[in-house]
Amino acid sequence: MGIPPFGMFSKVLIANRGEIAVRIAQTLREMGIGSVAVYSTPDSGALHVASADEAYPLEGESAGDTYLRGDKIIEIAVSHGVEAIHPGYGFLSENAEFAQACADAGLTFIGPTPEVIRQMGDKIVAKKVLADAGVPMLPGGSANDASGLKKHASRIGYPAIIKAAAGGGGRGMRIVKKAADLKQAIEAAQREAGAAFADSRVFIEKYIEKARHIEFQIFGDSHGNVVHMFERECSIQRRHQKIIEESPSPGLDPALRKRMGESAVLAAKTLGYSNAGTVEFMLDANGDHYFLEVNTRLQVEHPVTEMTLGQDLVRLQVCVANGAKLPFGQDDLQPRGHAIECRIYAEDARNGFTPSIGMIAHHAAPLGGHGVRVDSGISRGSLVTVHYDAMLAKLVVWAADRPAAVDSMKSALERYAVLGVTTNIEFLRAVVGHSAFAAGHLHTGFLDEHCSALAHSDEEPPPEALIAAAWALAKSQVDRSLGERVTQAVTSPWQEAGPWRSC
Amino acid sequence: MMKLLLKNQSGEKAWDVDLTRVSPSQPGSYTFASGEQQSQVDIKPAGADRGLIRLHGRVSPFYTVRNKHHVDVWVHGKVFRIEQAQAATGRAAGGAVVHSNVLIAPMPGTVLRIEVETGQSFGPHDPLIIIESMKMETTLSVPHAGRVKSITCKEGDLVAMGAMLVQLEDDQDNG
Repeated sequence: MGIPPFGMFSKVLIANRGEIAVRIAQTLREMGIGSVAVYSTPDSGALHVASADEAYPLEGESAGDTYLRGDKIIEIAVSHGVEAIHPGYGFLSENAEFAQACADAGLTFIGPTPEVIRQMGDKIVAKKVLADAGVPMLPGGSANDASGLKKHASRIGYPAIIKAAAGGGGRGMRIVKKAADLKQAIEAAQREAGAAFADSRVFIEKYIEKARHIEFQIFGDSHGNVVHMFERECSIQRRHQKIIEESPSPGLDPALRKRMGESAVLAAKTLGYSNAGTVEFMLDANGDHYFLEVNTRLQVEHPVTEMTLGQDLVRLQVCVANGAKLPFGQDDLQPRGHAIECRIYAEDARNGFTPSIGMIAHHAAPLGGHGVRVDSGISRGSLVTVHYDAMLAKLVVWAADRPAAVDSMKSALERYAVLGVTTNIEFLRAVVGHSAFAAGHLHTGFLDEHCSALAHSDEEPPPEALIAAAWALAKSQVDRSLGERVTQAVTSPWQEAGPWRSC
Repeated sequence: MMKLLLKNQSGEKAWDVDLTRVSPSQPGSYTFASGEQQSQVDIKPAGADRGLIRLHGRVSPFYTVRNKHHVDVWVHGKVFRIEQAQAATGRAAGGAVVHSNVLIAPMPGTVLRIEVETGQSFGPHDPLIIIESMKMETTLSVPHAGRVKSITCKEGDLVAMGAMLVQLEDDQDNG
């Protein structure tokens, strides 16, 4: 990677929680850099706190009082000898003011410049800047009022989609099927955007049904070098949020991959992009691609790129932020094999994907095997609360080709046990096991088309489930009766094990 | 012997389940009966709430979590929520139908008095054995009715924690 000009950071603060904070701490440890965690009150026993070398509290519960408090986080960094801040994804990662405040406090923000974050954070500005540079755009437009948006709508036709200028995570987004629904959809999107981002501006563009969501990882350094790191297909989405991602996309041939990669690099060069980012595109059935947005941060799904390229993106981020040049050029990057990621959420797929809260009673991730990776933010006893995102972990597999990767994912999901909260693991199994998934016929409406029935299957328990239930009920019954009658030795291991303990 | 009536969460299906230890000399070996089916099953606990089940030659890891009204079981890659229904034998109330087949010493101590004889029937919470430990007497009982199959200790015995004191069985007359 070359010798950085000013020496590597000695200590980096991770302004995040959950699996991504754990994952960043692991790379910092491998690099010999000290790691500092911050945590909210309900997270005081969380795995990310134990993963770092030092940890300091952000008193409070809600994200707004804790992980979004840039001022508190910078204060902790400055008073504990921190040199750089890694924001992870979500929270402050795409907050230009925070990136600027870090620089003002003499801290390195591990990410792009505040100017680029600001520009790309406004989707209307981003589309204008990149359209001018020649990046392909969907027909659409913005306007200050409903009548202006209506004019755009009648020009581009239906279905159309309304999106928030400050949008992200599917919020402030509405698909409009016909003109009669437009007014109501604009108002709903504006309300939702105003509440989520304190910015109610929206824009409209043509909605493509059965499109693929294809994004390109981009990476730049502060010396003007930019590469793309190939694509990730993220078409499997529920509520406009990705749940399964893979690389390479089964929908791209080498020529299309080259064209889309060139569009991504064009966007990155236009912006003078440094550090990690992602250019998102829609790909229609004709093989035409259109710009969606640039995410100016590390993505949740970055591991699939890491596995196909053999690179550690967090390490690259740290080195580039420290002033190093990218250690490779475009032609040096050759993906190998196929990687798939499944996001493990605490949610009830049988009940509209509603979040599930509780204490993790078991977390047995599939261990061993070639090419299985689990990035997790939980362990036995972890609390899943209402305060934060319901993603618990990411299960990533790599294999020589797509059919082998699909098989490996099926097997890994089958061995992944989580109890204490309801998870989407069974739903993911159903999706990955579907013949249309195996065939690679993916599009953003895949779950609605194929999997709405899957969410409601109520399978008969196998005899093993009845045996285990009887065993557990009998044990707890005996434990309780002993507890009632015996006032002494309440902590006896026999009460723990039960009188018919057998080995 | 443990007889249970289990049901799924919606209550649409119920299973009469009987899990019985084969013999005290074969720890972990049970006879499992449900409906018409009867099989040998081995259970190897790997903690208080998980382990391995071997049924028809197939070994399955399982995890359980006991909640107030149900048990969640993870097995074969899926989670099943199972509740306890009315007593299978139709006599115990309040869903407390789980029977243990042995009474064990919950602490090391001296057997002070044996309150029952072999073959004798007893009711829920009837005193069976009184044990003395650290100058304190503790009365041992079980929460269900039954009959004494055999007594495996005698008055004055110094017993270790976990020692089997009495073997119990279902009282057929009451069943």
